[in-house]
Amino acid sequence: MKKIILILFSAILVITGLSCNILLVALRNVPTFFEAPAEVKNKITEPIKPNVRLSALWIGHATVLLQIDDKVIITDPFLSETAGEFARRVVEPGIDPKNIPPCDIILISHSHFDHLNFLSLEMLEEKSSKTALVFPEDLENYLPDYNMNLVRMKNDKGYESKIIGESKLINGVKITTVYAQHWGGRYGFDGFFWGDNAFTGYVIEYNGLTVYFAGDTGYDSLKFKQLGEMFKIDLALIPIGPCADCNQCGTYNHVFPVGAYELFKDIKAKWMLPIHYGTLHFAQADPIEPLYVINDIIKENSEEEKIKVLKIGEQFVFISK
Amino acid sequence: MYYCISMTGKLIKGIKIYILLILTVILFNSFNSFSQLKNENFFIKWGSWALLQSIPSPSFFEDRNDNSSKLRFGIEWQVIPVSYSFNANKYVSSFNYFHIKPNKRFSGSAETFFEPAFIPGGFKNNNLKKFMYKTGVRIVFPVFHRGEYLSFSLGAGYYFQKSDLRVYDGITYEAGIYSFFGMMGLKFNYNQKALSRYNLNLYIKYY
Repeated sequence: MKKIILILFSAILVITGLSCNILLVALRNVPTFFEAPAEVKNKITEPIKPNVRLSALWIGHATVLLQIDDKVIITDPFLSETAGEFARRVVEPGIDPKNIPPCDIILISHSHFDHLNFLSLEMLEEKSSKTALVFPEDLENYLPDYNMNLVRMKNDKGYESKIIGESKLINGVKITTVYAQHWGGRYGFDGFFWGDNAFTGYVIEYNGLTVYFAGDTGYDSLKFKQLGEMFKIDLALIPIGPCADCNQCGTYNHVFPVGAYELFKDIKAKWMLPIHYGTLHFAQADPIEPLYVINDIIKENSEEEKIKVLKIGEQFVFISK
Repeated sequence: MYYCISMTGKLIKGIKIYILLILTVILFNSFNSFSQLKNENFFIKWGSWALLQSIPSPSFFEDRNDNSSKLRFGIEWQVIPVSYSFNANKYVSSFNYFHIKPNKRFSGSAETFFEPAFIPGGFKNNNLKKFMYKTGVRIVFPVFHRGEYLSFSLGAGYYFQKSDLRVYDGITYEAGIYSFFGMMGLKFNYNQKALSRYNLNLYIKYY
């Protein structure tokens, strides 16, 4: 009987130890938790302009405010000061939330704290009840109800190698869920061990313009080349962090700058906007390091025209009317 | 010798009840249907969940008689047989059984609870037994970030505790405050008419 108790106790210790990643993130954030996020100067107050066909305003992390003609789309809104209680922003959001216009579509790529932020959705919920909140299947289990039009979409997890989950016309915009290589869950075990896998990338098509939002993804050359064959992508929002050793291609779940550049070439997009860095501290990663590496890549490959590195709060107009 | 055999018997009985409870949970949750493939290993999922549920919450129990009152250390387990979420979206059921996503509970819910407790050192100021349980209903209210950062609960129910001579049972009132995605908290119980009226619980529960 003592042996059984010992085995049970050891098993509890092991699985508790395996959840240490959460603790690592928490510990890494202890010093920054007591520092106020850096201020963003000259924030844009009117991000939507009548003479613009395609623009992107990087609000920070994976949050981008897109204008495609008359449509306003925001990706993975993270506007609060902390993600997951302990990870505090190092830079404040690049726009005052009150200046974000009512959005036609909110895209959520997956259920992790830095991408699905309940308080940010509350802020956007107040602006319009006609907003469509789009998310991949399984994420409904992590999503409270909001006064918005909730749209669940099937997504390809890579098991079936379909690349595409499904396409839907939402508020006049064609949204397609596409392949991403990541993991789901929200509270540790559910993503690591229980197979909760709500994650996806998106392709947005409207008025002949195509934007790809990678969400959070690892690199798979074959699949992203296939994606490049299927869509004529104008703008690609691709994560470049977090990375501990940013000169590597990436991990199974994340592309680092090198992998992000390969991904960008595979999908044959016109422009790339690097995202998912510079905003939060992750376990072993410096939030700014991916920026240095992507700048080196841009210089080495003379990609200044194609890869647009924005500061948090900066807006770039890709196509004017 | 008799004492050892008796304790082993109780432990085996406890493990049997625990396994039965886990099987019940799996049965209840097998009704959930998903329309897409899930990268799920049945044994890893439910095995790890079962082990996580066996982690007890450290608690302190009042140990009193007419002349003195002290605190005794004990452990308590948190079981939520049924939860009704007030904030469930249109794609999911408001009802959840045993295995409940924290966001569904802490964004606002009403739930039944069953909390067996064990006081290893026993009571010294009276002759209460080492085992007790509480069961009842509580309502969880979100405060920050839809309850993930901070939430609180109010509840009431029935407690049961035995002494060598009689049964002490009656109404229990509770209030709790939770943080860290509802995984940790502080819960206070007042048990009417009991020799252990006040219980303070360092709440730990994952799913």
